[in-house]
Amino acid sequence: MELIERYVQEVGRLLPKKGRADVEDELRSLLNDTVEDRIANGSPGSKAEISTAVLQEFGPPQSLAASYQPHRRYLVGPTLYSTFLKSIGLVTAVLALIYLTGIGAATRDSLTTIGDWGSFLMESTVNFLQSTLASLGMIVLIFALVERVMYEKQVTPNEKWHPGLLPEMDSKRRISVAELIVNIVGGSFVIFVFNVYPEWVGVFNRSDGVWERIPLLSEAFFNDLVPWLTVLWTASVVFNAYLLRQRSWNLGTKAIQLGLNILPLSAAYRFAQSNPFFAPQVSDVPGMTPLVENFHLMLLLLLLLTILGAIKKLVEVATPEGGWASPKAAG
Amino acid sequence: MYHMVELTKNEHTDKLALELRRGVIILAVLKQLHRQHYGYSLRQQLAEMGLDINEGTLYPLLRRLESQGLLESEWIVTESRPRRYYRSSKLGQAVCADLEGEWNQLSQVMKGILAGEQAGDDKDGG
Repeated sequence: MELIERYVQEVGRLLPKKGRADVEDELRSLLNDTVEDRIANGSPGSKAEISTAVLQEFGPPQSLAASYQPHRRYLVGPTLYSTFLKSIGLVTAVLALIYLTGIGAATRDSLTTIGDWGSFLMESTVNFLQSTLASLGMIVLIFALVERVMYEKQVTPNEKWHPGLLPEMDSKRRISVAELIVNIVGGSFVIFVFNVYPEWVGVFNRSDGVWERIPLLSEAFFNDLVPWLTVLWTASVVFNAYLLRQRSWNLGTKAIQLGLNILPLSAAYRFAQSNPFFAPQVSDVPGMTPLVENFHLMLLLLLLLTILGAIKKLVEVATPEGGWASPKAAG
Repeated sequence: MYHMVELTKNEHTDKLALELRRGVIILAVLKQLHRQHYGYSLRQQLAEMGLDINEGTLYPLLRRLESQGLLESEWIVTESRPRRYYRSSKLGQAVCADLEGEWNQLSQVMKGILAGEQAGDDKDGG
């Protein structure tokens, strides 16, 4: 019956959250009815073999899930939605942190009059809103592209599908296809921008009543660090594509992924020790000074957190699978 | 840009037969569900009557008809496992009656058309 549970889980994963549990319960019941009826009618083969044959008839989970919602097209669909929300939350949190740090730093700086405060607050708020909107717009664009690619993939009939291809029940070893595709598209986009259009990496600033875009990162950053980062980001894109084929984590792939997360941070930290990370004009942008001054410390904290997270994930993957077995009972 | 897809005769037949059956399936389901059934028993009964419907078509269709108010459903948990039972709603029964009339009329018309074509073929041949 584990095969049936895996099938039900896979169909459910592709359905909207609303009503998902109900469809899963009904599908489980229908599959078990079909298998038991065949056994009662003397179908040859073991229960596992009959289950496999029944699932084969039900077809690929993607096709069945699509039948439950035949006319729905999403900008960001159920498969990607949780990854989308995570990305939105992360980016908004980082931008809000920079914004609040700027206000906090301004409190102890030279802003004494109400007029100074007013214009500082207005300009840094406008900066914050602009960068948030631009970043969120970019995230929506990337996810919409991935959704489009995945939708086409989902509705394409898969004649080679076989129940043996169903992923394992939820575990720490299971990969998230949506997350990997987002990593590949996002990584390729970052490589493209940093190497082809570095001028896009900037912030808007209002100076003498005029909005201008000023570069965010230093020339040394682009000349000395970007080539190394490009190598690591490319390795990361290739590695994510490899994982898409592998369909599950093991200790080796998890270690490589964590290494590919830590190395760019470590390279940036080492670079920032002896080189200017930001362009000199950035200090003129309201709210950016504290980021520039404390960036080295922030990088170090981020690096330490990533290393600690990496150790935790490695321990999880190294622990026997039984430790995470889902308590969900088979129907 | 429009791409012409080359299909074999059998592929054409399969594709068009599927379209032909699609509307009929709804009528068959609404009619059969004047009596309460769960998904698998409905599929079995229709198959025994000669209408074999793919699982991936029938089960999602039941949910869609229910969401349109044409079917009602309830979980019955007193049997060996919980099962969702469906039954045509009052609206579903009324729609079914209308569709049945449409079907009978269409069926007569089609019989005439197909018989006429046959007669025409005979005439051409003779």
